[in-house]
Amino acid sequence: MASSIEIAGLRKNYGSLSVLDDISVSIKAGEFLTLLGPSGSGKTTLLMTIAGFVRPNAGSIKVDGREIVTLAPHKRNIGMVFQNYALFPHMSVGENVAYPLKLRGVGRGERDDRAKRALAAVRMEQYADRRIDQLSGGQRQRVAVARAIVFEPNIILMDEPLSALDKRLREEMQVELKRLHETLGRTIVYVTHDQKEALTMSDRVAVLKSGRIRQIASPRDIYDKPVDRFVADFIGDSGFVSLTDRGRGVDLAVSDGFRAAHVTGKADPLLLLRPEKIEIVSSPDAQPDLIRFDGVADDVLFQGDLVVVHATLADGTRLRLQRGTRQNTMRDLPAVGSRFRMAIHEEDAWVVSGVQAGEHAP
Amino acid sequence: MSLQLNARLLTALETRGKAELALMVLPSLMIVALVIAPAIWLGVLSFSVDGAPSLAHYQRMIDNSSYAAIFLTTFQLAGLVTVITVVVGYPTTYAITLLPPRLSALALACVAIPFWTSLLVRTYAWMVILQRNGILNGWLLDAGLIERPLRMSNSFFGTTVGMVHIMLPFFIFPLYASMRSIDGNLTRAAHGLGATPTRAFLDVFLPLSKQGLIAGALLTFVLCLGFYVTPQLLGGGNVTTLSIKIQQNVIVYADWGAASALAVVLVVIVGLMLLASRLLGGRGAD
Repeated sequence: MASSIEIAGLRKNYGSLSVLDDISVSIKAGEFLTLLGPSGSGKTTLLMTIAGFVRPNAGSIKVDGREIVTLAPHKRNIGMVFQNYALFPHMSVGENVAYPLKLRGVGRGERDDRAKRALAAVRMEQYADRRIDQLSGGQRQRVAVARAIVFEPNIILMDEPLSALDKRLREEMQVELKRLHETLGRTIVYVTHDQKEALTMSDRVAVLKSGRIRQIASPRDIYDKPVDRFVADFIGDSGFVSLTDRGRGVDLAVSDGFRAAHVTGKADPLLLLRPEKIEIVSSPDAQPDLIRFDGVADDVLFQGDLVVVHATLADGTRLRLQRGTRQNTMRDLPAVGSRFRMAIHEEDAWVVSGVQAGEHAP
Repeated sequence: MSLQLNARLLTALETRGKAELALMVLPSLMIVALVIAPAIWLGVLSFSVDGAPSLAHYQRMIDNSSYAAIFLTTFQLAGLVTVITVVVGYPTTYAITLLPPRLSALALACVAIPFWTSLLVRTYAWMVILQRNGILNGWLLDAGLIERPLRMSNSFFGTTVGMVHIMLPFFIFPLYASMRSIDGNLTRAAHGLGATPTRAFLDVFLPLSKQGLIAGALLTFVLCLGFYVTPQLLGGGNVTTLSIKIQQNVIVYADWGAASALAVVLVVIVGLMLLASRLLGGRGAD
């Protein structure tokens, strides 16, 4: 069984500092939702509020329609994986995992059975008798997950569970956690500051800044259709070129259809240019759906699987573009210092407003 | 050329290393002369009577029943003081760790300031408070709670109170250090997994602070065993501990051998206790 979570009007202030500023979000039963944001964005506070460790100043948190905002953490029946795992060093792996069951009065025999099954789910069954300090970081992480799922909570919260692992192990665990989510079918709320992790694992991603949710959407929409410059900048590499300021030397001709759909009505419209979506135009054949622009190649960096070109446009905008390293692509690369033409397909293009809601244009 | 220079410089550095080592000779000699040699001399004294080897000093401890009473008093006092120190000190220390940083620093200062005050001054202060016509008796009489002044100084009770006060910092500081090293997320995790705050404390915080608790209690107990000033002044001759007996043997009877024998026994007991705690504690520690 998975539970839905309905959060409405959640606020938390520390003195005059607003950490959660009117957060409302509804999380579907069985959903994997990731809270993504820079440090200080309120993502961990939001998670701790759901867990019950932080008491909000206002708002409501309903689980399956039942209000829990005033409930003590131990009465919420929510599984939690902490950033540094928070495994009990004076208990063995098996005792750690069985602890939530012991608290719920489950008898010794059943306790051992269920702890063993939870450990098996994270492929740690042969480590039940080990002490915590005998485990590697990745193993501890798995034990922490086993302890969070052993009592079959309907909601599992994870606070940057992979941040202490090295890159390779992290990617492995991402796949494993995603698989675990599919088999268990529980609602998972996951906190990370790693945008790639968020895109890889989630059903939906909520991007937070200064205690507010800036955008909540599927990974594809968050990446391809960010609502504003902050979200675009935070998720992935991005370059921006102004579509109004033609006086500075970059003339971006867009079709009327594109202009009507994406540009009209936006204050200070900026064309979002993702490195992998920019083409290098070698022949002057005119495709109608291309937005073209010229630049000078500052450097060309071969990285094995990728080749990265840094370019400066006439108005001084610096762009990064990346291509695969197939021979036909390599042949088309500009020489360092030369002027070359780039383009982006209109279907790959996206326009954000340079003016943030509630902020003034620079 | 430069290789030769390097070789010369490297030799010079090596020589300097030896010179630095030579500097340590004097302090080492001082420790031998001032600490180790006298201890050995005392040990030798305890095994001799009038210059001849003898076990008479140890034999006396077994034969003379007053010694058994002295050992009993010493251990009772040390045990009682330790128990009270733990009962008062543990919650106090726990409370200090829960305070916000500024307040906890203030609370620690409140523990430390009396610690820096002279032992003698603190003991005399307790004499003033506890004596027959002292402050406490005055209050109790004025409040009508008692009709005649209680006998609180010159007694086991007075000694216990004074020693608890003196021992508390010795218990609180090591325990505080050990409690601060416990990850706060652990009790939080227990709480989140379904433990009531009390249960989380009992299942997680208490076992993790056990090491510090034992270390602090042991330190307190050992310090109590050899404590002299407070039992002497607040006991008023009615509490005879090992340390007082040692002092009597030297000052009143001028019998260094008897005094040394008591000291040796005390050192052996303390040594055995530390060894035992090490063996017991070692299992949980790693």
